Amino acid sequence: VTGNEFAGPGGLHDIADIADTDAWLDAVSRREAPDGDPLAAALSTLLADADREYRPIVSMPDVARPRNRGGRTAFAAVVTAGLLVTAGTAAAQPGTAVHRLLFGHHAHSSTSRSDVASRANALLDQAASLIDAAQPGALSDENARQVADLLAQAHRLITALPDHTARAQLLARLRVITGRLAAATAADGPAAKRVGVPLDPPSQASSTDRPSSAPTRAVPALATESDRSGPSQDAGEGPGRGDGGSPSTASGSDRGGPAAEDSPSAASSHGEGDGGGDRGSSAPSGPSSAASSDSHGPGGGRDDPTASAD
Amino acid sequence: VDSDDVARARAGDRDALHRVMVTYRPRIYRYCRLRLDDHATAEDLTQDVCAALYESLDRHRHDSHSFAAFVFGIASNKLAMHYRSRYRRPEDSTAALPEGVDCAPSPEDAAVQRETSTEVRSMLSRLPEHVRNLLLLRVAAGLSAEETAAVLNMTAGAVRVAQHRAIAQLRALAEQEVRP
Repeated sequence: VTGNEFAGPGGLHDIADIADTDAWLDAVSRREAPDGDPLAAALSTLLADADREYRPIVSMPDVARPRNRGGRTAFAAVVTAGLLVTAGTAAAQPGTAVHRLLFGHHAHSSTSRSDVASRANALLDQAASLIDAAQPGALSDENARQVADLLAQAHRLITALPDHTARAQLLARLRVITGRLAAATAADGPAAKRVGVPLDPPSQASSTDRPSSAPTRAVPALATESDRSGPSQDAGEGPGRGDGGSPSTASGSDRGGPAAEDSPSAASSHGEGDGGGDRGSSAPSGPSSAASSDSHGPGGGRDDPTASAD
Repeated sequence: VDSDDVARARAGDRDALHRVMVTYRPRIYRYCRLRLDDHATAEDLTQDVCAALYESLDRHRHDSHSFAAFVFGIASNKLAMHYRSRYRRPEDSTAALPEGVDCAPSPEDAAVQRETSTEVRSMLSRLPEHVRNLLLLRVAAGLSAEETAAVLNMTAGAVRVAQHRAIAQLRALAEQEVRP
């Protein structure tokens, strides 16, 4: 041990030797190895052999284009094409945001129409089931209010339907259920007062859906809703129309015979509904105005539960 | 190539990028060629390394002294990936065909060179993989001990000791070749 050694992998190493080797390697890599060193000459030959095979680049695009820019451009093209196809597909689908953005909102598109109709039907089903769950004349205040709200929502949807036939069918069903709501509410109970059921006893309700005590006054919530966007804008589909209660759209317990029989208004004390049923075009708009039309005779639809008995 | 060239290349200066590539590409090829069996694969990998370098220039935030370590870190990784893929999908490559004009001074000299190269390659192949890589980074890539240490995640002292031992081993092997 000379003092210039240190322990490293493989034993003792002389610092001077290590430094010499380092300098020797630097010289070999620069092709400046001293003559007479066979290993240095062999390594230099190896490097020269590799250098001889090297083919220099001609221009920069040779380096960057094949894998880099070409790939990026292709990727961008694929992404752009994908976005265009997606946007085009979305634009072709009625009801999508892109479709509305490009073509404006078409409420009469098949998708939105069927959606609205099915939602209205679902609301009517829900209202009917609530009524069915209660004994006639024993519908609780809370349930009565809930049914009234459901019917109001359904009415709002129905009046937005552009399809006359679907709207007429759904309105007829709405009328039937509204009448059943009035019948299911105790005539002199708090619920009846809250929803505006009259104290007048019904007289001629014959439907199985309808209890004999079916009242004839409209639910105020519905009347208010109809006032704003009443279906009477469409000829023959107003509350005064006599063909309401179409069997084709009625479901469950509210599906039944002729609307005239189902309608609470048919059981009204003055019995004028049958005269004006077919002249709905002359009827005042909305169920709420049925009260006044009823008094005028022709406008009072016989199946209109909202028609006033006064 | 100085640090300004690297910075300008990073900023999109094509001339600076050209200088960087012209400087490093031969060294990358030499390093790849001495770690691989054939010229074609070495050329492919050189191109891969250059493309990766071009893409990752933004990631280099140091001075030009460590830029060489950065470049050969990429090359080392590419070679490691190549070895892994070759291990998974072994191929029997055909012998490389001579391409272009042979610039050797004479057929005799070329034969001698090839023989010498084959012998050195044979000796290098007897070294452990990491030691062979270290030596080629020092000799073929022309990295300093510090730069080699940066690539291999070692200390410069450990690199110097390891290369010292490796050269001692090579000398011993060369003596065995001379005196079988």
